[in-house]
Amino acid sequence: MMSLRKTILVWVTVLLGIVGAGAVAASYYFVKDEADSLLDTELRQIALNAGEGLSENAVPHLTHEPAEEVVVQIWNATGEAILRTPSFNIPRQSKLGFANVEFAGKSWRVYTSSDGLRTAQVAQRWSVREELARNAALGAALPILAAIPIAWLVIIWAINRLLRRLGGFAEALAQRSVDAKDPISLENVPPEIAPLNAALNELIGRHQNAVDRQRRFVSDAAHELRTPLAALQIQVDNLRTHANGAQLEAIDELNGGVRRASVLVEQLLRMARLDDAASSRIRADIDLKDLVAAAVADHVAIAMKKNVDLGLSDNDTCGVRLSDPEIGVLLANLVDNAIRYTPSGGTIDVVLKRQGADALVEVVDSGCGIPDAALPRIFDRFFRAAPADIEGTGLGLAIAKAVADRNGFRLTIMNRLDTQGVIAQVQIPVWTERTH
Amino acid sequence: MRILLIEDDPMIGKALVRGLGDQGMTVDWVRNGAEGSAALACAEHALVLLDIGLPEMSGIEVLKAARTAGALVPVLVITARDSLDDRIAGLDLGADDYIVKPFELRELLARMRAVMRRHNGQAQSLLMSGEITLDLVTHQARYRNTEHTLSAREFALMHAFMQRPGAILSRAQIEQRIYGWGEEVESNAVDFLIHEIRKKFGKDIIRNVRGAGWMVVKSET
Repeated sequence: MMSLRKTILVWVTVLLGIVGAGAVAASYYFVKDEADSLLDTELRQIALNAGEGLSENAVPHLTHEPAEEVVVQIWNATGEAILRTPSFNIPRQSKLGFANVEFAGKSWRVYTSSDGLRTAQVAQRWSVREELARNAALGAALPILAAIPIAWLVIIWAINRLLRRLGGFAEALAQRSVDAKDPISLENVPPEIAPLNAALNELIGRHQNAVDRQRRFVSDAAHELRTPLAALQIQVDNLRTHANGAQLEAIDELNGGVRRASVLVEQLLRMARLDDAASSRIRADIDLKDLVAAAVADHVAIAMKKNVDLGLSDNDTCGVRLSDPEIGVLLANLVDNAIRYTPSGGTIDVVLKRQGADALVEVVDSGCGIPDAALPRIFDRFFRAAPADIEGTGLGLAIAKAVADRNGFRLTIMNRLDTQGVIAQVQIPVWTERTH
Repeated sequence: MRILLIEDDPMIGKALVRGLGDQGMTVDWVRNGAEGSAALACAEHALVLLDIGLPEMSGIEVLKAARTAGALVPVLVITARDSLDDRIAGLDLGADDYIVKPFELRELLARMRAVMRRHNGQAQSLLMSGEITLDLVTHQARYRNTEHTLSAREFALMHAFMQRPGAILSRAQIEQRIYGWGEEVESNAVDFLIHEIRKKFGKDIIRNVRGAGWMVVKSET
């Protein structure tokens, strides 16, 4: 489909062309006709008043060809020429009034009048008359010719202005958050666009409904799963009370399975909560340094159990204060992931430092790294890059990413340059939190 | 000890009756809010385990009715909803604590003990976290199966840790807590104290966090 701008331009150009050409042609012919009759009147006036004029020798002398002038001849009643221009002896016309005469190879316009005593004949060359008429006609048509491009430019400017307003509308649409629930404002929108806007708003509403329903479903399903999981967990615990050696091992396996399912349910719930951008976000005032320390402290026991050296290094004082308690979850998930992927005897460093205006948190592990092919998908829900023997739900990084996104942080996971593990990096622009 | 369990889910109900029974408790199990309210009115139980998600009369309503009627029995709420609003609603209505499904039996038992202790007015004298118990009156500490009386400095150190289990304390923070103003602090005093405590209870009682400091673990993970 041709763009609106192009369509309008083509039509305006064609229209301006037709109207302009018509106007120029019409004004040319009208003015030329007018000039003709004006010159005729002039000839007649000269004929009526000829005779008592100044002699040929009157000063100043003409500097141009007399041929361009009007030729006046007067005869008396007897037919004797009283006045004539020597080189132009146009034969006396028998018929009075206007006539077209051929003389000396040129066309002439002749007016002859007589009062009985004298006959005056005034002549003018057609070519001169035509030139005069053409000049007058061109003078009349030129402004129209000049007006056409000006009108064209003005129209283009107006169209561009109009389309820019549409562009603004589109930009406002493009910048909307996926979770924005409010309808697009009808202000500053041309009334012609309003129906489109209304249809869009309706679509947004329906889409939002579908998203809400889906999230509610995930949340409800996870909540519903909690009760049977709780029952399972207690039953496993009961089993343990009465178990002996060989059974204990099987019960531990069973317990591991129940726990894993519980973790998955918790993460699903967290994911559903994060997807609900409108969910009441608790306004907190948390020091980033405390969050980092807490994320480490919470995992010290697990790390020790796995014989992984988890610690802080280069812990810089950033003085960044954050408002979203879920940021703790983001950091915890990164540390948790690092512990999962780091074999016994490995090291995990959590680094907090400044980088320009940003605060930077890095979790550097000495694990197995991530295959390059898997890197683009690591934030996908339920995607797991790990070897099958490493437990996980595939939601940890997806949750971390969701938290990062809703706070405007940049979360990057990359392999270490020395290929001895992974660096998870969160870049926290200090200003994002100040704007809250 | 006689416990009232108000829970509609048969699986959880049966498992809890058995699990708590194994711990020597007598459990009266009712399956809906109305019966629960009636049982509460008898005031025969030492503790009530109340599920919030009951059909018809919800746990919240049962709790509200009981507290309005002046029942003083400690109530531990069991909930599948863990949003802050749900938790605050429960506590505001007079629940003594809450536990979110799914949970392990020993965590429930620990919460029940804590609620009972608080209710009997013993709470102020004991700090507990995970496997560590610190008696503020007798300066006795218990970790796993060892129990010792602490020296004044050792107690000050453990007290600092136990006030915020799970938080890392730096050397400077520890020194600030256990030494008064103007007191001479020897450079390795903290290391020495920690060494002494570890010698009594085992290495794991205080965890070292590289680059940050020391901590005690909040609860067993």
